[in-house]
Amino acid sequence: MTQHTEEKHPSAQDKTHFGYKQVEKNEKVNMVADVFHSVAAKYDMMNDFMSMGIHRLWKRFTIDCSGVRSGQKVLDLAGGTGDLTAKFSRLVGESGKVVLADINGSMLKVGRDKLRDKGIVGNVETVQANAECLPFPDNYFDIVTIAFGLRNVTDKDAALASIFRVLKPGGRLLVLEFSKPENPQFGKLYDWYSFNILPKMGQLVANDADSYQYLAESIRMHPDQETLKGMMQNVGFEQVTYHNLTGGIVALHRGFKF
Amino acid sequence: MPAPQLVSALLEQGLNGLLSLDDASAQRIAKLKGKRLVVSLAELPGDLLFVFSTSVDVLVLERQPTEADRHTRSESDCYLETSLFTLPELQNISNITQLIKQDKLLLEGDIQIAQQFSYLLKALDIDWEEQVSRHTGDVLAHEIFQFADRVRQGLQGFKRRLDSTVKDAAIEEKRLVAPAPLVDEFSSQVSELQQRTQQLQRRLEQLQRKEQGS
Repeated sequence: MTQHTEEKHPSAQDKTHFGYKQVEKNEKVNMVADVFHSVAAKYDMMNDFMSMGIHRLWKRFTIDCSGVRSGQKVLDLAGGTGDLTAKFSRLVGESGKVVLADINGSMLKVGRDKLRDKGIVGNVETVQANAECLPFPDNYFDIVTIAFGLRNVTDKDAALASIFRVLKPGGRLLVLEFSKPENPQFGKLYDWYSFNILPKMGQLVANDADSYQYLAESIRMHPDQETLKGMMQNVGFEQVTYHNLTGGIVALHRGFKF
Repeated sequence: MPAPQLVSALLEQGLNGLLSLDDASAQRIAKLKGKRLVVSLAELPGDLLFVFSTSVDVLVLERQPTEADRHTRSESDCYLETSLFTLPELQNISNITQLIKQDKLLLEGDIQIAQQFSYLLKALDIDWEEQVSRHTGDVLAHEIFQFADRVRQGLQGFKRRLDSTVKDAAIEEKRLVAPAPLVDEFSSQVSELQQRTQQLQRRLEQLQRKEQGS
């Protein structure tokens, strides 16, 4: 069941999923927050470990597809530890601005410290914000990215609508997120890895198997490529396309506001 | 795995790694700050966008961009379309007009951006012994580099001796190749013969013209 279909049932209006569990909508924010408070300190290391470093290439592809220019305003939503922000900061230059936003204070702190350590401060702001109700004016950003964040948002339609509102006409949204593998056999192998290896790695490295069990479950509950494309179109995005990466384990969706 | 992004990541890491080993690079790259250079090489599937700040960022652009992405090329400070084999010829600015006429180069914008980038790399002066000493200590680094120098000199000497032995064997013992004086003499004889043949040809042509005149 996807978030999209779930929200159409009146009986399920106050419920949402947290991994495979059904929880009250207002509980999910805190539960997701607990997961990320728990993993924040070792988030980067675990990402490298679990993806064998490939997450860095997925993020590079996202930036390559952003068409970013000097002087632009970029919102790195659910930007966590600031991987995209660091690069965008150099690409927009001194006349541009990058806002690193995350709902989770722990992740934001790790990101802010990491950026400061790299000497990236001048054109970067950090904001603790909920994607469903962004605290920015209408038509403000040229580019919004959300990398591995949308699946944790309780009301994805509200988040997409909020992003649409803050984008300038001509601006673009890039959603980098886990998706559905194209090849069913590869999908089975990926499932086995996700449910057998991933939680054990989480236990071993971060001493937290539950958070990585949630990660695997939340990926399965996230809308597939076509569903997410439809959701973006529903809130007003145009020319929506997606590009599967690593056999569809991850997909990059791109849509424009005109 | 996105292969073009792997290439650009390695290129970016390599470039910035080298630049960080030479303190003077910071001053040189400051001249390029904020500039954008797009390099389209025939051998690569996508174009490379180099963005200069305190470091170099390398992005991969689609060769056939969408309408929304066309500006990336048009707004770059310099756009070069060429092949890997032509790149070295660009170091000499006097070659550029000829390369454009020969359709080996398409250039838009300021070529100085590309040349400054080339200079940034050529001017690198890295003290490798100093770099190694940071990990191993001064004494061990010095020993390693002295040893490497002795190995290099030894290999050069071995190559010289091998060249000389092979040359002697081919010319003197096996008689596979003629010695240089003989080759020179043969060449001068061929030249002389060529001259005489040309003279003879001219005389024959004169005689032919006379014959036709009478």
